[in-house]
Amino acid sequence: MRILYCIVFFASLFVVTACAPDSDYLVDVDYNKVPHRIQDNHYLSTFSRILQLTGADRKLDGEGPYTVLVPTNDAFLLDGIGPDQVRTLSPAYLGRMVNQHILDGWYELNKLPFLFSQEITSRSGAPIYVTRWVKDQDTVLAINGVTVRPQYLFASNGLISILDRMLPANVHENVVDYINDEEGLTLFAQALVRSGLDRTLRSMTSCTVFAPSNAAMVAYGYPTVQAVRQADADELAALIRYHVQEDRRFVNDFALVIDTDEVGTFPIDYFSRELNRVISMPTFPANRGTLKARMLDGNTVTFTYTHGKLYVGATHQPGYRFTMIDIAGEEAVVLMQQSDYVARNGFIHLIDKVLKKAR
Amino acid sequence: MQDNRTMKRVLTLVNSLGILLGILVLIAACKRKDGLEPVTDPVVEKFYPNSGNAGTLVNFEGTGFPTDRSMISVRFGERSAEVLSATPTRIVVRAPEGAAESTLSLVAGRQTVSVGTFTYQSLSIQDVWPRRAQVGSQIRLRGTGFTSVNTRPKVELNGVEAQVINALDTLLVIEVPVGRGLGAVKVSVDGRESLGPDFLYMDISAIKPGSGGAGTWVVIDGEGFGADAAGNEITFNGVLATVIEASQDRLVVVAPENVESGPVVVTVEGEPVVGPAFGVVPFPVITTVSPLSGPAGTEMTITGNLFSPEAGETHVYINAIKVPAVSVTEREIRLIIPGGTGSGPVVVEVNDQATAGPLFRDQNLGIEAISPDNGLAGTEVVITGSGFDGDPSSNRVSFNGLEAVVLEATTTMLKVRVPEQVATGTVSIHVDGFQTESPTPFRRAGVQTLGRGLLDIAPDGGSIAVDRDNNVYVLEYHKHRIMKVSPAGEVSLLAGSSTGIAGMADGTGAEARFRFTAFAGLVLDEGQQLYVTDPGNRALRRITPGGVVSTVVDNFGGQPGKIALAADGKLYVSNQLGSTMWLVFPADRIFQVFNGPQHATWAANIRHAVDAANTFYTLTSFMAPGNHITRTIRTSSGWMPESFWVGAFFGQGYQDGIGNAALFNGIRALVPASAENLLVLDANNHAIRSVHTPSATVSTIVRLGAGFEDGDFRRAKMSNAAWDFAVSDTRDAVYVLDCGNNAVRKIILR
Repeated sequence: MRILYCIVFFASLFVVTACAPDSDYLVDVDYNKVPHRIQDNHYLSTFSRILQLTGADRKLDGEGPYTVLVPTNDAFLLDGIGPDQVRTLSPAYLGRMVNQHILDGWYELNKLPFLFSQEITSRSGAPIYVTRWVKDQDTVLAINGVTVRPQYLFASNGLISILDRMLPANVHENVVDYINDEEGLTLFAQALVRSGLDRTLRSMTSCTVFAPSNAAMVAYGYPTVQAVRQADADELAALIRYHVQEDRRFVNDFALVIDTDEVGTFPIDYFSRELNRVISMPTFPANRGTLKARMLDGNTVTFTYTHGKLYVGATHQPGYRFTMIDIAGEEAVVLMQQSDYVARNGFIHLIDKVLKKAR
Repeated sequence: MQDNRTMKRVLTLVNSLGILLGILVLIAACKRKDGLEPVTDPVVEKFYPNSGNAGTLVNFEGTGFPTDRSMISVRFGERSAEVLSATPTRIVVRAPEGAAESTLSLVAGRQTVSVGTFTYQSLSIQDVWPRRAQVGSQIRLRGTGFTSVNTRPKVELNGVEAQVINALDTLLVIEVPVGRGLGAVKVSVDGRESLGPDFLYMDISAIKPGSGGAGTWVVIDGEGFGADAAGNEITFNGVLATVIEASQDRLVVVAPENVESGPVVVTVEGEPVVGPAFGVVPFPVITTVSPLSGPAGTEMTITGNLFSPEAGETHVYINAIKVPAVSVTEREIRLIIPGGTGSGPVVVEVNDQATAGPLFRDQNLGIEAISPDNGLAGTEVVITGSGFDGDPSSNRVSFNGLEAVVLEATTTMLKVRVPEQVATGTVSIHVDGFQTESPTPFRRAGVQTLGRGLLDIAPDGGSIAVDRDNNVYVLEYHKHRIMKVSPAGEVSLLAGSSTGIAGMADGTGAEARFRFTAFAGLVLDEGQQLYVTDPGNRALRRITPGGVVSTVVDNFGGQPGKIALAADGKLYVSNQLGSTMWLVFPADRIFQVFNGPQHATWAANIRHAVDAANTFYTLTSFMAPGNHITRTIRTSSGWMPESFWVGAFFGQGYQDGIGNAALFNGIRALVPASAENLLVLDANNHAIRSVHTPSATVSTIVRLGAGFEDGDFRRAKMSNAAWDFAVSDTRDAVYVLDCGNNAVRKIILR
């Protein structure tokens, strides 16, 4: 009997010993995995910090493969997120945002066909849109209208692509939902309801909405929600149909197809990191080009794309401006920090003036 | 007893078995997961897209998928696809090369699931919309097979390649390229080609006339129009016009009653073609008619505005007799005087809108040109024209009412000397009872010299100021003193050492001491007091009109450079080091105003300017120094420097233009002349240039030759070494510190 006990006892010991995982006393860390590769680059420290805060770094330490789209620190600054602000953001928001930047799988995006807005599902379940195109002999890759740097960082369990702008954390079901949620578009949202075009937009499977900001609606003559409610519905519908395009277009998609061969001095904007806002230069040496595009009502607008490099302090800073010239010949500026919002059925860009069809 | 023992054994056995069972459980729990993942059968609920080409990403959604990519194989017919992503509910693969229809099968571990069929799209165009359009507009091609991982799809319209604006696997949006006629749409992808329906170019090549008013008949030429009147809708800036005549390449319409300036748009089958703008224009304007008299065969030039260069749209009448024009531009009409018209008004009619000009005298006597058309008293001027008398004394010539001496005369030329006390005004000639006047006034303008031989200006710098009475103050920096030059050219010492001794002392006239360098700057305030920067003493000094020198500031944190006076009376002093601008508030308080662009330091030996809106104009020593101007604007967020505001990025030269298109060659001083004009001393071009600040447009006020000569602008010369200038109180003259000629040069502008 004792022998049996002894056998049982030693067997238990053996089992317990065998069961103790190696990692309990020897941690074998692979510093080539995605989170460590990101951590190694100081200009990606904001994203690295967000990975740690959300625990996504541990998830990305797995077998993979993962494709991670990492915005630079400067990219986060464009949306007002500095390294110090990260902690102040809600974990739920950060979680959504991180998942929007992670693709489960090994996506070498430069092997995609030459097409615009190719849909890929991110870990968040929401789509991201990849464009691969040729501009001036160079192959350009863009995600949600953000140019991707051509070099990957390779990790042992995935790929890292560097972005110069962060992808929005929230993807709305429908462009109308986005417009309803955006506090800077309350008057336009009301105009959609009044004109009945909210139903049209909801039913469209692809569209781009150039939404006049509240200030633009006020300047046009709709100073209050009340004024919009009392406006002529048909007139509003005709106006709004001139602000919608049938296809999905990120602002950068226009940059890819506009030849900027006009050289001169033009107004241009750039984002000042020091001041943390967009600065407009009234005249600046730059290149410009135009492109006509048809809106939903059959009328055309002329897009202009201006780009130049400014000296800011000791460095070059890219400056650019997108505008839309309407039939009346007036120019509306596509707001640099309020464009490329994504919904599942289209994109939304804010503009600073209502587009007009006659002088 | 026996039972008890048996019972114990049984209990012990049960215990042992329990322990063994526990161990087994432990072992089971402890066992690594590798290879022992619960195997469930993969179920594909849907896959998309079900058509595409090599490179298309195909998604499989379902359940039970392994997450290890090596355990998954997706086959398109016989070919394996690259698996990009594998999660329990989604697999993403890249479609391999293939053709026609391929059966899709998913192999996960030992399970094979037949999924469906993937169709490789052959290249085809199914629809083109619109089928007619104007160059620059967009058309949409629906079809299949536009996907390629190797090349962009290429589209041609009637043989001309079009720019692809948007490309999806079943849609291409293209911009209509420059082309003509009717022809097929062709798409090429990866060496494959597909022809679509025919496409018709639409175009408005011309509208004639391009301007006018309600009721004007307008001919629209182009292509792709509707063949009958009802098939075309024409608007003038949105206002519908009536069609008189229609064919595929020409329309005749009447401008509507409430016509407005704006584009003419022809719409055919819902497709608009935007043409040039039709301008509703006011009546033409006549500025000058030259000559106002003359014999048959003489060329007449009418200047003005709103003339129409288009043939048949502009007509000229002299005394109601139509005279054919030789050439017409928007601002100038040339014609040959036919003679025999009789005296009467010159009338210009543009598209039925007529304006009457000055009276033309049908006589031999007439002035065609005056050369030079500017100058000072004593300048010899050649007047060409007709009907003059060959005897000088028989021609009576006056400048703004003052009679001039006629030096030489032929029947077509008079050489006269500009009279003393001349002012800007009309030149008139009386011959034999006939009288005629110059079409444009003679301008009193030219260059004079002050203080030459009496001053001792350093060859490489200095500063200058001019007071309300046109006394000029000259800073001789290497002599550490300031001289005063009266309007008559008398030179006296205002303040500083008469023998050129440097020092630091307040006092009157020769008692005072300065320690100037080439960076020292002078400025005169509203109270006619001079402020001068004293770089060697790091000081700002004030000098009264009587020569009493006092020290305003003696504690600059570095050597001050040039100084500028703002409209609000504040003084701005540049710092020689770095790029700081100091504000000296009326008393002796110093503020640092702003830092310039960090990449550049001020050229602090160049006079900077501050305009009425407190905008700064400076030169920086960075890249092509002296050839471009930096503007610094005060914004709500601080001072915003705008480097390369006007002037070239690189290089130098002489060119008027806007912004960086303008060229300078050695800018030495900037002086605001009015709220919107900045004057520039462009030394190596011997020029005074003007910048219209709202539009950054550079023009030339006067450009002289190199050397030394006084006289009208055609003859006058100055040296390259001009280092500063000042504008007279009445804005009709500038005083240039011409260091190379050791003199003050007075440039009379009017």
